[in-house]
Parts: sequence; C-alpha cells; structure tokens
Amino acid sequence: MLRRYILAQLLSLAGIILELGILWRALRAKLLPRFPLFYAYIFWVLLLDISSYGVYGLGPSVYRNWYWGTQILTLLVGYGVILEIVHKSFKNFAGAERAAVFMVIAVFALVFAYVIFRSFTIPHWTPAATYYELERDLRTVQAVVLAGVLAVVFGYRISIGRNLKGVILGYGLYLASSVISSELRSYAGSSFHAAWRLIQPYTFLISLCVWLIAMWAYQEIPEERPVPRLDSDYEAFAMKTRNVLETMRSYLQRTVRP
Amino acid sequence: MIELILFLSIGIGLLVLLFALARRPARQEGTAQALVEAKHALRTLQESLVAAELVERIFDQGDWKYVASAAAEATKDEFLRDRKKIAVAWTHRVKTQILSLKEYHFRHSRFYSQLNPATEFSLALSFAALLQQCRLLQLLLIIGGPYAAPALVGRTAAATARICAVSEKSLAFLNPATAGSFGDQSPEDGAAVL
Repeated sequence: MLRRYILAQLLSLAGIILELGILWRALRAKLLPRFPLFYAYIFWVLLLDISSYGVYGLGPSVYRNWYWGTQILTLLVGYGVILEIVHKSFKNFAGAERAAVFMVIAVFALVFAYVIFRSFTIPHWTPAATYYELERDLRTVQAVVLAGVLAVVFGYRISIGRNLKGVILGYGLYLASSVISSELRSYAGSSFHAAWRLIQPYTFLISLCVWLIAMWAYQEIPEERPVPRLDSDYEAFAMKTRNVLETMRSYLQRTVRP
Repeated sequence: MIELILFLSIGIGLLVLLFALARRPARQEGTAQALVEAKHALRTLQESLVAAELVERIFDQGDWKYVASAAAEATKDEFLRDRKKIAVAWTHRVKTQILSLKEYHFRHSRFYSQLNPATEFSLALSFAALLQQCRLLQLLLIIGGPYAAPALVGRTAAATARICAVSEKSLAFLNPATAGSFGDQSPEDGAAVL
C-alpha cells in the first residue's frame, strides 16, 4: 500500500516536472503564441496536478468528486488541442482544411445519430452510466476526430512539421490508451482497475516526454505554395478527373469481360 | 461485446495511424518536384509504354501461332512464360498510371478553397475501385496467361493513352513554351521573369 502511494507520488511529481519543462521551453523558444491552445491545456493539467495535493487532504470523497469534475473539464480543454491540430495542419491548404472540417462535422453527426438511435432502441438507456463511461465516450469522439484528421493529412500528403507532429503523437497516444483502458475497465470491472490506474499515468508521462522533445525548439513548417493554375474552378478540375476515371473504368471492364 | 470490439478497434486504429505518422518524414515531397516527376512519367508512358505498336507486339497472337506450330513443347512453355511476365508488367504500369493520376489530383485539390468534400470522397472511392479492377486484370493475366483477353487489351492501352493526354493538358504549364510566355512578360526595365 505504502509502495503504491510512493509510486503514485513519484509519478505525479515527474509529471509536474515535465509539464514545467514544457512550459519553460515554450517561453524560451517563443512557442507559446504559435500553439496557444496546446499550452493552455498543459497549463491546466499542471494547475490540476499541483492543486490535487491540497484537495487530497480534504478526504477521499471530496477528492473523488473534484477529480471527476476536473477530468470532464480537462476533456473539454483537450478539444481545444484537437481544434489547434486541425487549424495548424491545414493552414496552407484551403481544400484539405475544408475536407477536414467536413469530416469533423460528419463525426459529430454520426455520434449524435448513434446516441439518438441507442436512446430509442434500448429502454432506460443513458449515454454514460458512470464517469468512467462518460470519459471513455468523450475521449472516443476525440480519438475518431483525430484519426479522421490524420487520414486527411495522409491522403493529401500534408507536411506538418516536427512541432505539430509531436503534439499529435503525444495527444493521440494518450487518447488511444485512454479509450482502450477505459473500455477494458468498463468491460472487465474492478478486476482491471489496478491496471487502469497504472496505464493512465504512465501513458501520460510518455506523452509529456514526447511533447518536451518535440516542442524543445520551433521548427518551421516547409510552406508549399500552389502552382499557378490553381485559381481555376474546382468543380471543373474534379469533373475532369472523374471523366478520366469513368473512361478508364469502362475500358477495364470491357477488358476483363470475355 | 460489440461495444468492446468497437472501442478497441478505434483505439488500436488510432495507434496504427500514429505509428504511420511517427515513421513518416516530417516534410513531404514538394509540389513542384512532384509535378515535374509526374510530367516525366507521363512522357515515358506516352512515348514508349502505351504506344500502339508496343501493345500490339505484346498481345499479338501471331507470334504465339507461329511458335505453337513450329517449336518444341519446351520452347512453347518458355514463350508463354515470358509473354505472361511482359503482360503482367504492362498491367502493372497501367496501375502505376492510375496511381500517378490519383497522386496528381489530391496534390492539386488540397489547395482549392471551393473543394467539395463529397466529390473528393467519391473520387477517392472511384480511384480505389479502379485500382482493384486493375489488380483483377493482373490476376486474370497471371491465371489465364497473356492471351486471356486478347481483343480487349488494346482498349486498356487506349484508355491509358487518354489518361496521359488529359494529364498532359493539366501539366501543360510545365512545358518550356509556357515558361517562354512567362518570359515574354518581363518588363522593359531589365527585370526578368524567370
């Protein structure tokens, strides 16, 4: 018991040191104005980590309520990080940004449709019976949005640079591990609780390390300028591609038929 | 159980994407370089690969009829094996051309502020479907041999040539003549448009 307590304290202390390190580098490398929402998230997490020491002394029930209340707020601040990722990734690519925004809206529409469907088909269904489930659901939405953004980044061959890559890797790693461990905890019950309590802080420590390394100094994103003819009509351009595809398809179909 | 699979798939899927991101170089190829490479690939295809004579030469049954009537069994087998290799390689190049067009389209469309996400999504599906068709054709040639669909190979070549023609129009601004026209716009005070 004492060993576990000491380990938890050490993890918490290591987290605070890393968070302070990230904020210190943000000031030294003048990264704060470039990634304001990301640093607001780090500052918020640091604030919670420091204040948790004081709240813990007020008793377990007070701490539990405070913890879950602030976790939900942390999740909402985390949406700011996702917004920053979308904004920064597609800054120079108006078309790709449009596709990403459309994808984010589609994800929220799907989630909304899923909630409506479940509430109508299952009697007495609630979106989240426990704080664990609520956290898992909200993080899952973030994970799906981030996966969609990455799909757009890959599809359109977007250069994102070292800093943003670090933000995505750190946050994505934490999100993925949270979704997996929260669901396993929800499925397996209290038997997985001990593992869950270990996985969460360790993964977050890894994420903090990734951020500290990636955000050590500012690295300019190589700007890609559009070629001269791209002011012309998009619909005409897309139609031209579609026509070629259709022609190619019809020929290929005829080729494979005996 | 369904929920467990769903959430685990999302988590693992994100991890896979993150792994791909970690392995990906921070800087992607520059647009200008990619366009010049696309132009070079098009020229190679037009001047050699989809030339009617070459396609006719690969898939013409005359050679096979001659070998079948005059050569020994071992020679016939070797001939068919070699022709199949060539036919499959040719289909592979057609597939490469579609991939090149896909690359070209998405590299361009990302800059369009009026981009239509639904059109993009349907185009992405079309590219995927067409590439699958190409793989199927390749499979047919591997299984059925070089003369599995003799009368229709020429149409594939024609389609490829058409793709080359359309892509060439899109890449026309890279031609030296166009560069020359920019050069003509240089002001008289000595400053040059390079």
